[in-house]
This record gives sequence, C-alpha cells and structure tokens, in this order.
Amino acid sequence: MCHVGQAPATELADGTSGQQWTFGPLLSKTHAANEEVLRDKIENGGPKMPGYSLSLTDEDIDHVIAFMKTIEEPLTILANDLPGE
Amino acid sequence: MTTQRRTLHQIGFAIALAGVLMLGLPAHSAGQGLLTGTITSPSGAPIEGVAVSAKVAGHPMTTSVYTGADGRYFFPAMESNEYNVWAQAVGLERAEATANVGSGNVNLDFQMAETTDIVRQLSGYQVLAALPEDTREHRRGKALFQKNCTYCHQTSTALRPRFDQDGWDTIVSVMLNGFSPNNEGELTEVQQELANYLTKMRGPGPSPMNPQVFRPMGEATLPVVYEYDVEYDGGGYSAHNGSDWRFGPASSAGGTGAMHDSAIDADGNLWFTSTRRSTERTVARVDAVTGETTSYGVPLGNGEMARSHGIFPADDGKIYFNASPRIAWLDGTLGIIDPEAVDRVDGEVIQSIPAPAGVSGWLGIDGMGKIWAASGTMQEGGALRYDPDTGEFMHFESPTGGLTYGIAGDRLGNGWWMAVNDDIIVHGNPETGEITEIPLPEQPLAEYLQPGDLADGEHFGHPGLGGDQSPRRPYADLNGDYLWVPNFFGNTIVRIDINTKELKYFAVPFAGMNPYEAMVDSQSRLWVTFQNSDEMGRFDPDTETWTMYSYPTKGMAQRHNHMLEADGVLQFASASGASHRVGRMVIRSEADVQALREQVSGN
Repeated sequence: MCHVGQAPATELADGTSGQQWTFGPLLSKTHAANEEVLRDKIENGGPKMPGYSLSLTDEDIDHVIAFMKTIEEPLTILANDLPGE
Repeated sequence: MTTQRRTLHQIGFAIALAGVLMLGLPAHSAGQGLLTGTITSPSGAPIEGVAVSAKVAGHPMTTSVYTGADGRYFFPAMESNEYNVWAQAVGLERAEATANVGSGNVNLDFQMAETTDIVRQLSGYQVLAALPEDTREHRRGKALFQKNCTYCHQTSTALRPRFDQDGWDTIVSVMLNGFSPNNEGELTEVQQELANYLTKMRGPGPSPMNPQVFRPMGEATLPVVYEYDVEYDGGGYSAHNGSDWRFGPASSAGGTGAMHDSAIDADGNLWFTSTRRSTERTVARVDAVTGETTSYGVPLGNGEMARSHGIFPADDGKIYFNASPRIAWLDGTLGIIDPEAVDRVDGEVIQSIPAPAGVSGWLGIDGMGKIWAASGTMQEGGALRYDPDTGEFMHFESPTGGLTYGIAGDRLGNGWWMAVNDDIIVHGNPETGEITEIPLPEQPLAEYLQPGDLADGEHFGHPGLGGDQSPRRPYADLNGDYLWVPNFFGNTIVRIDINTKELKYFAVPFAGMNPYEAMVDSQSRLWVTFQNSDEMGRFDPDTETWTMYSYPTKGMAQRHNHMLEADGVLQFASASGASHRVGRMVIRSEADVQALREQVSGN
C-alpha cells in the first residue's frame, strides 16, 4: 500500500516481507486539513503519485476526503467491520 | 507449546448450510427455506451465468449460485433469516434486494440492464483478451503488460484505474523499479514503452480495447460457492473484498501478505496458512457453519509465530504444513495439526517436526500415503519425503535445479518437484535413490507474438519467481500414470507419463491465464487454478476441452488448489489474500439442481 503501513507483498526473496513501510506518507486527518490542496493532490498527483482525475468522480473524491478526516492516527492496516453487502 | 485464540466471537445463529459437506440437497428441514428466482433482461429474455449472492448482515459467510440457461437460480436450503441478495454478471448492472427467508419458498426475480462499464468487471485474462493484437506495437505492449503486471496481482487490478501519461510513468516506475521511497523513478526504454502502451489502453483518450462478455455456461452454472470474510489477526476485515464488482478487483490491505493456501478437512471446515508476521497465527481454521476463525501458532521463541505457505490434508486425517521462521516458504519445520484434536482441551494440537533440511512451502502426497515437501534454498533445490507411520524423513537434492516450488507424489511412491526458475522437473525414486532431471523443451514466449515482434536477441523477462515456463504446482493422478504440471508463465499444461517420462503439452483456453496448481479427480479429469483469473478450469483429457467455473469475487488471484472428493461430491477450497477470504466451491449435479426445482414447484 502507498499510504497504509502494510507490506506491499510477501513473496520477496530478500526477506523484506512484513516490514511496516510504505511508498508514500502514512495518511491521517492531518493531511486533510487543507482540503483544496488535498483535492488537487488526488486529482493531479505528484512526482511519485499518479493523479486520479480519470478514475475518480468528484463525488468519489469527496468520499475519500471525508474518510481521511476520520483517521485519527495513521493506519497500519485498512480494515473494516464485517461487511454486510 | 502451542497457542490458539478465538478471533471472532460466536455469532448467535448458525447459518445457511444444509449439511456442511454433503450438499446433495435433500428436502429442506424445519427452520429452513428455499430462495429461488429468475433473472431476465429488460426485454424479458432469461440470462444465463448471473452470479446471485446472499448474505446475512454481520455474518462472515456469503453464499452464491448461478443462473442456468432458463435464467433461474436455486440456492440450497438456507436458515430462516433476512438476507441481502445481489446479482452480478459481466456486462450487466448490479441488482440488489432483500429476502426474508422463512420456512417456505421465497421467489426473488431480478431484471438486469446492460452496462458498458465492463473493464472493472473482468478478471485478469479477460482484460488481456480485450487488448488488441493487430499491430506489432500492440502485441509488444500486450506482452510487456502480461509478463510484467501480474504475479503479485491480476492484470485486471492493474487496469482498474485510468491514468494519464505521467500517472502511468509513475505506476510503472513504482512497480518495476522498487516499491521504495528511494526509487528515483527513471524508466528504461522498455519500461517507457510499457507506460506509453498503458496510457494508450487506459488513458485519457479513446481506447482500442474491446472487452467481451464472459459468463459461466452449462455445467459451470451448477456450483454453489460459500465464501467467508476472514478477520485479520490484528482485527477487522478487508475493506475491499472484491464482492462488489462495481469497484473492480479486490485490493485487501493484507494483499498476498495475509493468507496463501487453504484446504478442507473431513468436517468441511477450512484451514488456511498465514504468510505474514504474527504473534498468534501460523495457520487458522474457519468454521464452515459459524464462520468463526481460530488461529493456531507455532512459536518461534521471540514472541512471534512461524509463518506458513503450503498446507495439505493427508489420508491420516491430519493437516500438514510448513512452519517457517522468516520467509513464509523457506527453511521451515514440518507442521502437523490434527483437526480432531483442536476442540479437546488436552489435545496435542500442533506438532512442529524438524527435518534433515528446511521444509519449504509446498506439500503433496503419494499413492503410498507418504508426505512430500519441497526443500532447499533459492539456489539449491531438493525435496523431503515424510513417513507418517514411522516419523522418518528421506532427503533428496536436485542435481542442478535451483529453488524447488510445487511438489507431488505419484501412485508408485515417487516424488516430482519443480525447479521453477530453471524450467526443470525433477524426479526422485525413493527405492533406488535415483534422481532425474527433465528440462522442459523451449516454448513460444507469448501466444500472440509474431515473428519480428521481438528484436534479435531481445527477451522479455519476468518479475518474481520463475523461468520462461515456470512449472508451478503439479499433481499426479493417483489412479493413473500421468503427472500434470501447470506452467505459470508458459501458460500451458504439460502432462508427464510417470513410467516413460514422455511429455505432452496442452493449451489453456486464453492467453495469460497463469495456470497454477492441478488436481485430478476420480474420473481422471484435471482441475486447474489460474492466478490471473477468478475462475477454475476443468480439463477433460479425453475430449481435450475446458469448462470454466467462476467464483463470484473479483481479483482473487488464487494460486493453490485443494480438492475434496467424498460420496461423489467434489469440493474445492479457495483462499485469496487480495480479498482476504476463504471459500468452498461445491460442484452440484444437474440432478441436485433439478431436485431443488421440484421442491420449489411442489410447494
């Protein structure tokens, strides 16, 4: 994962599996303090992040920002309650 | 010393299983009802191959069936409760409803509209099938994509989003030059060719992709599939388990780091291995009725439990697995767990048996009841044979083959193991001690490449493990004379005569399916998992035809294969790190479904 503290894969020959590192910064509500900056980052990306303007609708991005505002501490795993469908 | 911990509190009802193992579907009992219905297009035409799923909110289990040619679906008898029900198929918009299943029958019909947003609904090889092959540029790009953008996930996962050129440049750099903050992002010439291709296929402009509708047909619509959301050992469930196709393939935060193989025990419960660092879980059991997950650990002595990769239930009723200290599939001991003992307070739950060499993460059984396990290092392959009766090991070293991947025993008691990076199959004879290596003859790189598509001497390499063909997880027909080997990157099945060692290659139905593990049923039919799919294939050697069976989860990327055949009923275990689910596909017969049809019409 790019922003959640979880190993990207396990079947690595060098034994780096299970390390709690990420490619990008660990996210929490502090990154949603400036909503305009955050929205621009999600839409247009940055040097090491693709922009999601072609994949997410404005409403989707609203949901992402709203979710980020609920994250008190950076996540080590992205987990939900048991889904009901 | 062993540990165990209940990881999901008992939920106050048992659910929806008319017999955990035997789903021959007799008349339902009191407190159970039948859920059925018909799915049609807006014009009223019946639709075949629609996955219909039902779930009680708050319970880990989802039950799914498929519509037949008449558009009708038939769930097995289900406990009385309120179910969320949804219907999905490639090319159709998702439909949802609720059903209050009581003691009678519930009829729930859906009318499903077509959609053009198909790409997210496709599994990996189906996405590949949509990519054009009309020009050299397209064929090269497709091959680069096929060979580089799978293994960790399906190709469908890679093409779920659309990005602009900068975005695809970034993605290719991240994925191929190291998933690390230290990655400087410079693309090689070929990597840039791949990024340009992906921008053309899934970028801002019109795409030449031509997605087709894939749905199960005929016999492949008969199964019932039980899937269980599995709690992480740290708590919580996957935020995206792939069950809602609108969001594309599953992308659980655990990825492949959480679970790998699964198997079904004699009571119908599911066991799976845990590849991730954990303080409680080496393997775990999912109760087929309650969905409760219980972890079992082999302590390493540092507060953590061993990791595991391969699991195999043997004829003695016990379940064998590797218990590895660091990398989940190397340098382990032989773990043994007795499903009959786990509920006994004083039971010896787990054994961890040191072997003469490290036990690797692939296991099998031969016709004499001996357990075979892969062994060795990344550079030096080998195998172990364990005798459950005497507790003795035999150790075999591959003459030249490196890392050993899948392994199988044949009916004569010989072992066969795969030197996955070297495209070599190794044969060991325990009676004579003779070890023979069989190099696989060279095969075409990719099915659709044409002469001149690659420059002289140009070679497309693969990330991860594996040679050009990459023989993975074999299985020998214990009633016959053939060993079957799926070749992951080669996208073929090779059959070996265990007596003459003669090879014969068979094609799989589509390009880039990544066949992974074979099983053979009592009718000598081959059942194969495909990593780049959400399907399982049945190959009939007599007719050389394939039948594709679907799981109702997208992005599964299933690797292992475990079959339980009892009383004429075939069941297959599933496990998906990407969705963090385990499951069972029960192959119903026409008669099973007809019995349900008659019960419904008779009430």
